[in-house]
Amino acid sequence: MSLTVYINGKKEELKEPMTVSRLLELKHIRPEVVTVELNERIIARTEYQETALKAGDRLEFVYYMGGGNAN
Amino acid sequence: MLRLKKELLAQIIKQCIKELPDEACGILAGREGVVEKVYEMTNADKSPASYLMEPREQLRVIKEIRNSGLEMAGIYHSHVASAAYPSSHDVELAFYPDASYVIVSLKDRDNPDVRSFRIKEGRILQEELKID
Repeated sequence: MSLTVYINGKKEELKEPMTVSRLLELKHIRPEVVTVELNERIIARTEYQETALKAGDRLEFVYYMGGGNAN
Repeated sequence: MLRLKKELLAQIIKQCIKELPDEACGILAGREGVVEKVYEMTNADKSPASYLMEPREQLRVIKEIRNSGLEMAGIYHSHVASAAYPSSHDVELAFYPDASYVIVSLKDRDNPDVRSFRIKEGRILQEELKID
């Protein structure tokens, strides 16, 4: 059973029900370098595995933006 | 190539000087490599040696850029006492291969050096920064 979600503003069809954790895996996104917002709420990394996506969910992924001259 | 209006460059340099002794950071919004708006961001690290954007502020700005029909053209930050060249820390945290990474060096504060790079899979490529 597929479901439609919105990822970074774009509509995407997921072929099967899945968790946030699985979605990150499919998109080759390392969980430790991204912030995930689900329906306007930032979710903790510890919640990724237990958070199942529902039809119409709105996800935002933003990678960490950082760096600087610390070597 | 990244194109930046001189007024926007002046805004960035002003922010970088204002935030001394700490590094400053921000996001560049535009279309097809032409910057149209500068978002000055908070350096959550508040450090002269590193920067990290705050996730809530990042999310708000990214959505605002998208809703205004623009794209994230680049990310900028300052090096307060070193060259305008990506550090190993910059490379390690460069997750946007399609974005320009602009570095403002304040090593010579009277003559800031500003350069733009692409960072893809750990490789650093300097690109032309055209000031209009």
